[in-house]
Amino acid sequence: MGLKETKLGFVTLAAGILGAVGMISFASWVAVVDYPQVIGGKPYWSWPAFVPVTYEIAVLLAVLGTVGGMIAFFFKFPNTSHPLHDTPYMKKVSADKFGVTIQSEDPSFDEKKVRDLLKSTGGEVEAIYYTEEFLNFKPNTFDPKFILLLVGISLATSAGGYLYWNKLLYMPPFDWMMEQPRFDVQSQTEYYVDGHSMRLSVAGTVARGFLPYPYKLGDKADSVGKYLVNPLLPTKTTLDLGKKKYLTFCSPCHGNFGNGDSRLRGQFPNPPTLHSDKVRTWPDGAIFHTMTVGQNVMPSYQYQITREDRWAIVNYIRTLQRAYNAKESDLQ
Amino acid sequence: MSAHETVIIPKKELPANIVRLGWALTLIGLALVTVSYLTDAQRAGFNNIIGFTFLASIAVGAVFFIALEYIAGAVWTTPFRRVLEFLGMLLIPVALLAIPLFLNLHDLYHWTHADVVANDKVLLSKSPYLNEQFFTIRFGIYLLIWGAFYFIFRRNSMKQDLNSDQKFTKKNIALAAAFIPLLAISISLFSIDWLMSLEPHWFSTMFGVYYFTGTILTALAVTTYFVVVLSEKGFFFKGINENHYYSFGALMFGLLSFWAYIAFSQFMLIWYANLPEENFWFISRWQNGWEYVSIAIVLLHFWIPYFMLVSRPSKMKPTVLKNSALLLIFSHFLDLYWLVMPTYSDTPVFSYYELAFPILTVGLIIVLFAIQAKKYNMVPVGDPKLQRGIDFHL
Repeated sequence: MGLKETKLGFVTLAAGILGAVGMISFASWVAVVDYPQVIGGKPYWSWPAFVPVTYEIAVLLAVLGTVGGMIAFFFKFPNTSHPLHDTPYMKKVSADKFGVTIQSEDPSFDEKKVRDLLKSTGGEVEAIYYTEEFLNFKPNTFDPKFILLLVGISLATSAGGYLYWNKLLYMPPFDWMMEQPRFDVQSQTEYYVDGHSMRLSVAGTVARGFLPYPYKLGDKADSVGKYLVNPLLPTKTTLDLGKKKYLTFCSPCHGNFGNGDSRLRGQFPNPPTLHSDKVRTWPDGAIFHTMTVGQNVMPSYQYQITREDRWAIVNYIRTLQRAYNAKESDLQ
Repeated sequence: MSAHETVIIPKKELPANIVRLGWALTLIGLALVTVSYLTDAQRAGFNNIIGFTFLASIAVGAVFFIALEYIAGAVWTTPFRRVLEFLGMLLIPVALLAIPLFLNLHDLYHWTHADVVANDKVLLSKSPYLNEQFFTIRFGIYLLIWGAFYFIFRRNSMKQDLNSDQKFTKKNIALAAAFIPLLAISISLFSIDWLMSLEPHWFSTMFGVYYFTGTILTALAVTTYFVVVLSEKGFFFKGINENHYYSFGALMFGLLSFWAYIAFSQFMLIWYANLPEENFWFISRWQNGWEYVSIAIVLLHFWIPYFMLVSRPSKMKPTVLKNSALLLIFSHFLDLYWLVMPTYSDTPVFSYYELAFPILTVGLIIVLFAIQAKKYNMVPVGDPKLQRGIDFHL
């Protein structure tokens, strides 16, 4: 039929390469430039993590590019199929009719003779199509029907969008989630004289179990420490609790055994060891105070760790210190 | 639409010089293997594992493709099924090559030392599986499964040559259905036993699939190479067409992409989690020169053959098919080298020890193929699907 090997493969290749290069660049830009984050201790540009998404996007663009390229370049959009498909011939072929290809380049080709020959075999000739007219067809971009379709689609989507977002959502029964009999945060009301929809708590209200902490950042740990008494006994329960909390909150910087040798060593100013004479001779309360208000680079932990857990950690640190500086009697 | 006078060439011996080459390679290989075992038994043993698993790849992969043809009802492979049936005979050298390995098990596998295992919590907990008795029994079971199915497939196929009875095809379809799940399990466990347990502390749940993919890819590459070369030399039948070639190329392309997918997934999961009990395996393959071998595998096993085969016309070109098949066979050898040798040596090593087994395996493949080509039909003349396979069009 004079059809050449399709060039669609190159469209697929181009779209796939575009997808792969685009995605790996995008992922690199996001991970390195726009929003760098350390994930799992890996460098910002951790390319193996980009491979799956790059692969997916490459496949996706290759597929979409193939379909889009086929419609755009080969069907000559706005045609959405090869024009041969729109002939009555294609509707019937392979149902109860079949097609015969005859080379019309042949100098002895004569349409009438062909027709007569086919008829003489007892067949019925529906139509003869020449491939020339199909190979060199032009896109009918300014076909009024196509223009009308475009206008129709734009009108329908804009009108639909407008009606949906601005009308439908405010109509019963679709406004269920929009309109609720409650006050939103910081909204006004005329019900109360002061206009607040949220009620303020009575002056002097205290949460259950709340104990005010009388000291603040800057108070010397060893001087305030003597006024704080550890309420917990170093039993197995409290030491287990203290160990768990210590390993969760303290060990990332102070190390698993309090030597200040954690894996973050070198990335921040190193925390000093907890086995120094200073810390060992501190009262329990001084350690507690340090945890509560923080010190130097160390932030306050009073909102992450409850009061009780902080005392349990103190007990655990005491155990670690004892283990590093064991007495003669401990070894017996 | 039967093709105009298909001329089937059912039986044609391989040229004498090729057979001589095969014997020569086998004998040189055997001599080198003997020398290397006498000089450095441990190093020879590690190379023996490479050669052994390489031959197992081709043999078991060939049996897999026989089963696949039956169970999928494929027609385009039918004219070339004898190549697979001949290659399956490599199961015999696989069994033979295991003998020196069993004699040297202590040099190769860390977990065979009772005193080491007793002091190692991890190995102790693995010892119900990893112990010499069970290891040997398992290997026997694998050989039994592969060998039994292979010889029945082959016997039915050969009998069909005489009487063209379709009942043999039906029998083989039923057998193939039973064989494929058994193969999936046995080849995974085989790779775990012989390759993964070289580093008994390491584990990867993807390892079985990794070796299996390499296996079928190599078997297909060897088959493709044989088919293309033999067709060019006028074996099989007159009129092998680009549709046959395209099918081989497309299947090879698909499998090598699948291999890359599995290999990368295995790497990425371990890289991402970065757990010390898993990542040391990759770390030891990324230092002291092993990183160049790793990069070479990525290039030779995936990127280069990928771009060789990616376009449609190139899958139909016999030269491209031959070259990419050879490249993939070589890369599988390199892949096995990369899997096995870091256990033996911290740096990549290469000398006549490493050459002994490749020479031997190539020689064995040629010799076994030639012996069978002399005795049996090269085309399954009695298969009812044969004519459809010859007329195959995409």
